[in-house]
Amino acid sequence: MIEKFLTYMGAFALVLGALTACGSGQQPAVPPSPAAPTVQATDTAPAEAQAAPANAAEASAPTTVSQKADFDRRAMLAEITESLILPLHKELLAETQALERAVAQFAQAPSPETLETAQVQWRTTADAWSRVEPFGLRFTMLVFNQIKKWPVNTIFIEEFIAEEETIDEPFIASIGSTAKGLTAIEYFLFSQELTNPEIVEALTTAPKRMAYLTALSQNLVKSTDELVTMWSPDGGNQAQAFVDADFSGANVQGSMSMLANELIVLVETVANTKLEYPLRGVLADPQPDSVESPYAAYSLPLIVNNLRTLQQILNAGLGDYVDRMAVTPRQTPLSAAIDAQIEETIATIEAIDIPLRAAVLENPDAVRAARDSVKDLLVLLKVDMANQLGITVTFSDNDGD
Amino acid sequence: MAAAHSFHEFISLASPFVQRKIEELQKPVSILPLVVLRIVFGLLMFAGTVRFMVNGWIDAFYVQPPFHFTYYGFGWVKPLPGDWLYVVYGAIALLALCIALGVFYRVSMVAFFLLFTYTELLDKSYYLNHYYFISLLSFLCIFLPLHRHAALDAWRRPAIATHTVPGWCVALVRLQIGLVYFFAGLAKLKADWLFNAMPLRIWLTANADFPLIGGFFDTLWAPYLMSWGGALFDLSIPFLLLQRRTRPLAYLAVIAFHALTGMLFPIGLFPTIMIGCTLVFFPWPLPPRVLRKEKVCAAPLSAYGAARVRTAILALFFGIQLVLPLRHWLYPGNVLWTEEGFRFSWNVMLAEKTGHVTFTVVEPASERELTIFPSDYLTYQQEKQMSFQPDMILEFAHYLACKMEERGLRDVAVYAEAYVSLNGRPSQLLLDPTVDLTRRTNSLAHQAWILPLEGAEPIQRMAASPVDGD
Repeated sequence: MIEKFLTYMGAFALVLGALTACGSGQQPAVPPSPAAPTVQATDTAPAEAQAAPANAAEASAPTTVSQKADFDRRAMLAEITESLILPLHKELLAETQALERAVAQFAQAPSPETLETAQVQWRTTADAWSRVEPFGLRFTMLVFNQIKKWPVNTIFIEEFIAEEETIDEPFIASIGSTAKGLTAIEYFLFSQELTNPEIVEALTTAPKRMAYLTALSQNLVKSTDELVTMWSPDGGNQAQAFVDADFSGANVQGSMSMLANELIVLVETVANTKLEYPLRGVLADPQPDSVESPYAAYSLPLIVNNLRTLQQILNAGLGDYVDRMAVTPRQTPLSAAIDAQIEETIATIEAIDIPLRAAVLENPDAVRAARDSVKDLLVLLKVDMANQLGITVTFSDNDGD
Repeated sequence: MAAAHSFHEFISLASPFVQRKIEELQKPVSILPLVVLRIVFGLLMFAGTVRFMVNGWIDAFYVQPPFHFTYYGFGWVKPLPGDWLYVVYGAIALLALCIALGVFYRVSMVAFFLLFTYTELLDKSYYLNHYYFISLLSFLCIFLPLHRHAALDAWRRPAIATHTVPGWCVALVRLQIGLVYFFAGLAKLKADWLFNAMPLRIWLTANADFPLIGGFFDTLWAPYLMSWGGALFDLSIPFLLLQRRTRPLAYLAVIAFHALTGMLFPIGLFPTIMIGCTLVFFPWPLPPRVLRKEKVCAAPLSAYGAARVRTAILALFFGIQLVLPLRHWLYPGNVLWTEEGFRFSWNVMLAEKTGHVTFTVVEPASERELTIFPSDYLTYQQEKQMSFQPDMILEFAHYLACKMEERGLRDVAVYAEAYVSLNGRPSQLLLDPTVDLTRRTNSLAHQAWILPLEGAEPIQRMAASPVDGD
């Protein structure tokens, strides 16, 4: 009798197991518990969030094998969302709107002065973008590309200008991401060869170029608005979903896992695409045109912004969580080691005293030193932090080997 | 016959106990355990294959990547071009259904084994112990009469229908499953697992918000309890399942163990497969009236195919399985770190390992130097797996050298800087970064360019660790 009962139980477990395994590709829906932190629409000024990054070593608990239950991971996700994600996205929207206005004023009254105003605003907008870039979770991928994809395809842009009768925002919305967004605006507003008066002349003598630029700035606001709406509690409310998706371990859907892996991808992009490729290309030849910001020569500040935001995410609770998850003692808590490495990396980047585009030719050693420092940071995140958190993303089955 | 004769001579020299056991294995037993196995195995393989296809893994794993990591000695196994891989997976699903139904059983099982194993040999980035288990089980089942009852074959050809099989047919399946558990238990007898409760400490604390029992995972002693319990479970479960008195409780433990691991870790169908396959440990007795009618009794070994050849093949088959999991003792160092002798050894869930490797390509004549991030060439999964496995890093270094020569560089040297963290240890270099990997070849011999695992031993680490334990 017992064996019969167990056999039935086994059959039941089989069916249940098969259903669970087959459904494991689906995102489980987890309703937020009533007591769980929720995301509030906040007007916290981004400047506040960025103010003086605290020393992670001071902020974090000592590395001990302590209870983890006292750490509210969900509250940490809510804190990151409220103090960083939402305000930084709002800031980006505000800056793109300001850029749209500056471009409109320039188009209305083209002059070196209005051009310069637009250029300054472009840099501010690019700064805001580089602080949002670390939050490029999967659902944002398409709209991220609309806002900024580089390198820009100038051949496409010139073809559109030559061939299209009307260039307006709907046209820009209809074309591919390599011919629009922040980098395309940079292509029109800046030049390493032309002076500002010459840029003004180039745009005023070709109305379609000015129309393209204007339409780009309008489209940028639309795309950014779409991104902000995705996160906003009033729109797609991904902010709440981000906090709710507090799945742990190797679950690919877990916000902790997604965010940590996005940060790793970002730092690898900085090391490889933003520094190594311009430095040595595919055949050890420098590729100065491949820098992130070739026309405005603004690549290095953008990298520093990326790293500062990473630091802020750590200070908003991720670093504390990393240390609490430590199971083996370290001389320096890992979060403090990461923080120190970020500072060192920023110092090596700021030591490059000419634009990256020129530095890869004139001072490659400094660029190499910065690249090596980013690589060291990458090891701390991708190897040490990922191991400590047990958050290696697994897209397929795994049995731990 | 000569072999059989000498075999019996050998047995007669052996102890009466062994002789009695051998004779018992010739006695007829119910075929039902094998029938259950066939249906469960066939249906689960069908579900698993369809799931693999639906998840888009054929494309992501085998079609998209331009480069594949091959197994030593199987470099010639390549993905079929075009849509042929989809045909292969479709065929595997169809064959699995044929197996479940017991139609064209022998041919289906042979084809299933070959095609399934072919797909597994395509790229070792996707190596999983349970895929290896499926290959082994399907190979074994080629030689067993799983289709002689409750099968379309038995219905079509009443002459082969039977209610009983010699005991050894069922015993071999139990042996196969028992070996998996036992060696998985043996593999857990490592310092990290036993004395540092790693990697369960990492994984369980990451699951501290697991419903109901999450709080338990968060205690200091829970990972130790589960590590030791897990090792004890694996080592003892085959024996407990064999005994009539302990079998019911043991099977409950099987369900509980696999259900828990299935909920905690992304291990797909593996828990279900093991819960299903261990049903073979139940005797599934036939009603006495059926047994009385049964003509086939004490069927000789030769009743199913060429006995001598089969005996030799199966002896070799199990012999290899006894050796492979122990081969890592032939290599110096910690197998979890060096991975020499790691695969095909039931090292299941033993390591939380992360790595990052960058390659430096140097053309000596021009002094040109390039840093290569492998993510430019490999998929996420491939890169992740390669980053901590020396043989894969070596294979990729050779591939990189070929790629660079295609681009016009000559006589390049390739160096790897691989940082790896194992079970919570701080990251450290896995390989000697000064060794030109193009001058090294993959072989079964120990690779001296793998650096030893530095740092305190787990036990000392434990003692030094500021555990507050509350």
